[in-house]
Order: sequence, then structure tokens, then C-alpha cells
Amino acid sequence: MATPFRAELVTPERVLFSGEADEVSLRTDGGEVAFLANHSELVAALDITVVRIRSLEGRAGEGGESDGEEVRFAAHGGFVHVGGNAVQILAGVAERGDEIDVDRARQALASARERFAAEGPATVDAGRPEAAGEQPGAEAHGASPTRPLSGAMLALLAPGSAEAAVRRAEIRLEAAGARAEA
Amino acid sequence: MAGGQERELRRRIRSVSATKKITRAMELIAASQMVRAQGRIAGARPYVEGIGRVLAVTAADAAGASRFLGEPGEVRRVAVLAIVSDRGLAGGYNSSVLRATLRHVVAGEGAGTSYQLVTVGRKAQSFFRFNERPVARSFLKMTDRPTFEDARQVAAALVGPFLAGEVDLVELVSTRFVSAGVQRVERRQVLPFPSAAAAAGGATGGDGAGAGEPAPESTAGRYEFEPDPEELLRLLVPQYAEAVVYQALLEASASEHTARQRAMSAATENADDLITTYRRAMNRARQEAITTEIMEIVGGAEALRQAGGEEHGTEMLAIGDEERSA
Repeated sequence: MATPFRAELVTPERVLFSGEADEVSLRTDGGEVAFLANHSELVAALDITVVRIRSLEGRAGEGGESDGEEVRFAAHGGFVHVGGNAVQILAGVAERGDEIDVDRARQALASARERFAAEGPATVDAGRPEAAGEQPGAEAHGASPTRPLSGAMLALLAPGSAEAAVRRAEIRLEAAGARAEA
Repeated sequence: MAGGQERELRRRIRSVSATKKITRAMELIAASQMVRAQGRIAGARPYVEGIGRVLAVTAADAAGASRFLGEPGEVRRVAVLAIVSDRGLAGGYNSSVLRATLRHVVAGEGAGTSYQLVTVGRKAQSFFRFNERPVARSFLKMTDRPTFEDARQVAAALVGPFLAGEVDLVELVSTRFVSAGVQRVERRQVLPFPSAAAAAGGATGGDGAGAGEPAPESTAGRYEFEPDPEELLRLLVPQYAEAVVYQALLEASASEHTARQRAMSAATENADDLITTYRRAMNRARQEAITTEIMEIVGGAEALRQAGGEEHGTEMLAIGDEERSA
């Protein structure tokens, strides 16, 4: 059994998860990451991602096995802070996988794909005004509207775009444990 | 006529009782809203603290963060967000925030700074219209039960101009919910991020940064960042502003409900006092009317007795006595 550490998934409305876990995996802007105990200190921006927490809390699952029970969440962008043997995930919007309405998520996906077909990929301008080129280094960091956006930028800077809506719907289905029939 | 005064008082008592029912209902509603709003403040605190901590850690390592951090260099243009309520009947809640805002703006303008007003709440709209101050953006229907989505909209109106360099400083005037008994009107700097330590303290609600995290200075160079700190900071700043605005909206909402509860409780008590006073006056008036009537009857009977036969007169007097004893 892996060493436990503290895991938290926090949204502005409430704390979705707080307790002992032995593994947390999610996707950041740089790719898939799994955190185990005593991970080095890190701050990262989240993609629109499924967060998997192998929880050691009794309340998270029905069974009382000694090994961690996986709880899934859909997180629509945010940040993760790792330090002091704790993983804290901060998401503006997140929900528990088993609380997601699969039928509605499928409908949302279908309509988002239609919109995506019409609108095409998101640019920064589709979201809130971003200070592209406001600093000399900004272009090099990928803030240019012509380049495809990273997941985190999509989630945080262009949340209203069709591309973000498609990603959100896909992630919700994945968190709910359902297949997205394409 | 004597009965007229009594009727008038009876009418007033009825009207005050009706008002009392309303103020009492508002008091109860405000009390339950206040409890719920307090719960939401507690629910939001971990997120606000978390974002503050992440921002502090990131800022410690970010080069070229100066525009987002610490004291702004030269302040010429300022955006001020004032948060009040849509409805009145909350005592001095609205006017104290609005007057503090106006005072601050007027003082700043004297020093050559220009201000852009963003407001939440209908009461702010009418106040600034009356004072002939243009309002850049005004948001309504948020303060009863603020959602994070509301905070996003408000924050976007502030962060946009800041990132675009249209304003040098973003401030916030609102009521801070210290406890159920204490609410204070406060002005806070939102952007640039005040300073790592001050902001962490501010995010916890002022009562000490009890998270027990390492001091911000010591984290420089210890953390990995993804993407690099500069880029991360650009993503974080709007999120941080949203969190701060959200917290401010929640605290303002709780303060509003508290102020309304207090005002309505005073109004209910006042209605009780009024009813007691009116009822006393009414009883006195009724008693006077009865006394006058008896006097008239007695006087009439006496007059009859003197004018008519003796037997007849005694009979009338007997009737007068009966009425007195009743």
C-alpha cells in the first residue's frame, strides 16, 4: 500500500473532496501527471480534465477495502498546488463524476460539437480580453491568437468558446464513466 | 364626536399591526438568509485562500511580475468597485458604503487621479445618478445570493481594463462581514496583488493567515511551475480577482441580510411600542366617551325629573345607574 497524503479538491462554492489519498492523477497543461506521496513542490495550471483521486476515506466509496477507492471528478480548468505532502486542486467549476447527468452531458456534447463545427477552434479573443503583447515576452509564451490554445488557456481565457464546451462535455462523460458515442 | 377619535385610533392600530406583520416577516427572512450567507462565506474560504497561496508562490518566482504585484508605481487612473444591495430597508448599510466610496473618489480627484466606477446593486445606480457621477458598469440582481458566475462577470469588468493598461489600480469598497455582530465598510486593493504576505492575510478574512504555510520569500526557487511562472501568473491574476470579488460579494450579501434583519427587528419593536401607545390612547378615548354619555344621560334624567312627575323621574335615574354599573 502506498503512503497516504492529503488531497483536496476545492471550488468556490464548496470543498468537493478533502481527505487522505494515495494517488491523485489529472492532466495539466504539460500532460498527464500522477501525484504520489512526497511529490516535489509544484504549481501547475490544469487542463479541462478528469481528476482521479484514490481515496483512503471510508466516506468516498461504499466498500471498506484497505486500498484506495478511486473517485472521479470533472474539473473545468484551474490550478494544482503540491507542497507539504498535500495536493490541493483549485477549480472554478468542478463536479463529482457520480453526480453528473449522463444524458444531459451527451446532449451538451452534441450541441457543442455542432457549435464547434460552425465556429472552429477558439482564439483568445473569443474569451475575455487578454493582454496579448502587453509584455515583450507574451508572444513567445503562446498568447498569440493565431496559435491553438493550450488546455489551461482554453479553460480560463476562452470558457465561452465552442472548443471549450466540447472539451468540457467530453470530460464530464469520462468522469461519469460513460462513453461519448461519436 | 367623541366616537370619531376612537375610530381613528382603531384604524391606526390596524395599519401599524399590518406593517408589523411585514417587518416581522422580513426580519425572519433576513435572519435565515444571513445564516445561509454565512455558510457560503465559510464554503468559499478554502478556495480563496488556495488561490491566494498559489498566486503568492508563483509571484515569488515570476520575473516581470511587477505590474501585477505590490504597490503600483504612478497611479493616475483607478477603477473602483462599490458593492451595495438592490433593495433598501437595511438601515445604514447602503449609504455608508456609497458615502465612503464618494468621499474616497472626491479626495482622489482632488489629487489628480481619475476614477472609473463599477457598481453592484441598484442602490448604487440611483446614488451615483443623483450625485451626477457616471458609472462605467453596473451590475444588478446579484447581492441576494451571489454566485461565482456573478463574480466572474464583475471581475471581468475590472480585470479587462487593468490588463489592457487602462487603469493602474483596481480597488473595492464593500462591507466586510467580520462576525454576526460586526460588519465594517472597507476599501481594499484588488490589483495589483497587494503583496504576497498582505494578500494571503486578506484572503483569509483578515483574522490572520492561519494556514501555517511557509513565508512567501522562502519559496522562491523551490517550486516547479507549469507553464512557466510568468505565463502562469497571467492565467492566475484573473482567477485571483474573481475569487476576491466573489468573497467580497458573499460578505456584502451576509452583511446586507444582517443589516436588514437588525433594521426590521427595530421596526417591529417600534411597531409594538406604537400599538401600545395607540391602544392606551384609544382606551382613554373610549372611557371618556362612555363617561360623557353617562353624564349626558344623568343630566337628561335630572332635567326630566325636575320638569315632570316625581315617579317618572326616579325611573329614569334608575336606568342611568344601571348603565353606570355596566
